[in-house]
Amino acid sequence: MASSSSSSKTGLKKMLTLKSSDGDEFELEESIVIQCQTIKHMVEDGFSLIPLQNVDTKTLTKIIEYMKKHAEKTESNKEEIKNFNKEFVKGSFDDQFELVSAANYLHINGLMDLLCQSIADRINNKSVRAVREIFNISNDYTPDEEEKVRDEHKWAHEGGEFDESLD
Amino acid sequence: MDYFRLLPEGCVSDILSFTSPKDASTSSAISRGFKSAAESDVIWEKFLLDDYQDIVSPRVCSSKRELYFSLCDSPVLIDGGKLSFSLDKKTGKKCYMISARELAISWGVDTPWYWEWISHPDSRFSEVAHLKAVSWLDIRGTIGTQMLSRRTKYVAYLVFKLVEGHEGLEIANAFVRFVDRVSDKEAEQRASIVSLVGKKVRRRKRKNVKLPRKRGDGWMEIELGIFFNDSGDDGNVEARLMDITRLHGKGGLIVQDAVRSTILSKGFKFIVESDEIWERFLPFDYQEIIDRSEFPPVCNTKKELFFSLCDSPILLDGGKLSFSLDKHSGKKCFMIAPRQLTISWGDNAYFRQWRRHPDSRFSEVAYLVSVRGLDIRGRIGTEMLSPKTDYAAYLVFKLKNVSNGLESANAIIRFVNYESDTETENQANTVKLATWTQNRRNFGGDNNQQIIASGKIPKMRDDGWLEVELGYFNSKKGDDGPVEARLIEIKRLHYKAGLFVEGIEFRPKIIEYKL
Repeated sequence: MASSSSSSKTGLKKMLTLKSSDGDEFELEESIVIQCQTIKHMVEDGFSLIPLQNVDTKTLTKIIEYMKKHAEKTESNKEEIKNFNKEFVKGSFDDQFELVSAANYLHINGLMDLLCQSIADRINNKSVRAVREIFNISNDYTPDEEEKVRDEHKWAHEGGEFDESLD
Repeated sequence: MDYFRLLPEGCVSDILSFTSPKDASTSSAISRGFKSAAESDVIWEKFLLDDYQDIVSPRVCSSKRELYFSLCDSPVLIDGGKLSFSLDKKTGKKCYMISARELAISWGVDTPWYWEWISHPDSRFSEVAHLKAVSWLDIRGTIGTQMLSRRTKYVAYLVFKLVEGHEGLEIANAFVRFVDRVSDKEAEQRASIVSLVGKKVRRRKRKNVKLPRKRGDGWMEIELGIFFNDSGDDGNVEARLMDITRLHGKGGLIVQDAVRSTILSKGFKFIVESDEIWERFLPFDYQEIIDRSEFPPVCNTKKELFFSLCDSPILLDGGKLSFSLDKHSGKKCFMIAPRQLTISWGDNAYFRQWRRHPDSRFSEVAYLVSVRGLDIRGRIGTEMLSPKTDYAAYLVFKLKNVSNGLESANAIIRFVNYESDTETENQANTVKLATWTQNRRNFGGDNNQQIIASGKIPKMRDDGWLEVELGYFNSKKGDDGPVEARLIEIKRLHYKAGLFVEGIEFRPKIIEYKL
């Protein structure tokens, strides 16, 4: 979806400034930033300084890193991007969930998919107990309620072997 | 800290949409937040195949999640009943069952002393193959890999039932092959050994014999083989069950064919079968019928739909008739709206009026004010009815408090194409619309029972109307043209008054033939 068509038309690289919630400013080429749908719309509305009140500097740095790399995407460097993605989602849960919120807010579809897949991989085939433990989720059901919910999807809870490990 | 609490709820759904249907379903038990996220349509839309709309006709579902489970739980017949299609609940991948009619069954499926085609109440398909007696058995089913989900491991099963007294089905060979790549010969060499009989296989003989399993729908299944569908460009896959090396007689198998996650069936006496109980209780053309309704029922499951159609008739064709199912048999019932009846108590508005009635399913009922002669006819095409079924026709009506002259009338059923009015008038039954309470008291014991049983006096219906049976007939193959049910009283010309007509209903009747 990313393209550099707008910049190549003019020959000049149009620059934009992103401002994090901590007040730090980052200057970037428009062609990189328009991977982000939210910003793309603001650019179309004529903004060139874009304040991002929901994204702190730490998270924004990561996102810029992602967008820069993905702006380089071509047919030939698929493997490189793949490895980059792999490394990118290795951060702590704190960072990852911050990134999900930010990617969701900024509408960066590729990043959102990447992060969701990475978190989903930690859920897949895990037991309910393991998921709660891994993500520190408190069980707000009463035992009766939980039984009832499990009953609704009995087929899903039965039969398969669930992974109880916390990896 | 609960990481998921940091996220907007939509994001939790987004994440779950990258798991599997099974994981999304189990995740409901994690916490309330997960339950709510797991029910989001975002997830289930993603789990539905991109091309499901090309495969099945639209169905009425209030959410994508409902649609997903409806496609899992209620296989749909496609390609004119040649295949049934469903989704594997845990993975959302496509499953097909090939109907027995589409299998290649050697030894003359059309030679009735070896095989016969029968309809089976448990089958999703209209017919299943019944093996009576053959000396060899060879059943194959083929499916195109392009129809299957990609990058998916599939298993082909033969779905069958054993008939009592089956013989020679203890051991057979089974294999799966890519038709373009592996020859029959090659595949035969690495065939696995299966038994359709299960426990009866002598242990010492075979350790590696695959045994059949019981399915949720009452059929048995035996695994014929496994294959991996990579990108769907491997041409056809064939699954085959054969036993042509040991030539002892075999008999007693009914086959229906399954590709559950793919393929096929075979048999000696097997019945091949289908998935969900409730879909097969529905008439095969129920979707077509429902599509004729302005307000089709909204149901999550086939079971719900079945009972909804039993309990709440739907109006078809802009209210010209109503449709429902007989709860006991699942057969079709129709009621012809009064406007569609031929009522010859005259077009004079004074004698007959159209009225709204609060208890009526139709927009208007006919009200008989005061007439001398009475002649009400309703017709239905036998092709609309469930085939090979005894149907009775009923006049559905109410009486005004003050009603007159309705004690007795004649009722006639005739096949319009074969029987003339005059012929049938001579064989008319006598029925009573009115004064049934008084009359019933007057009848003597046995006599009374007989008359009630023969349906010739009115009965109270659950919907508050009365009905009287006009006669019965058998729908046979549905090619006998229209049937007409008629109530007539023109001989005794005293005044008749105070009759509301709701319609004429055709519904299955259990006829007890006396030996």
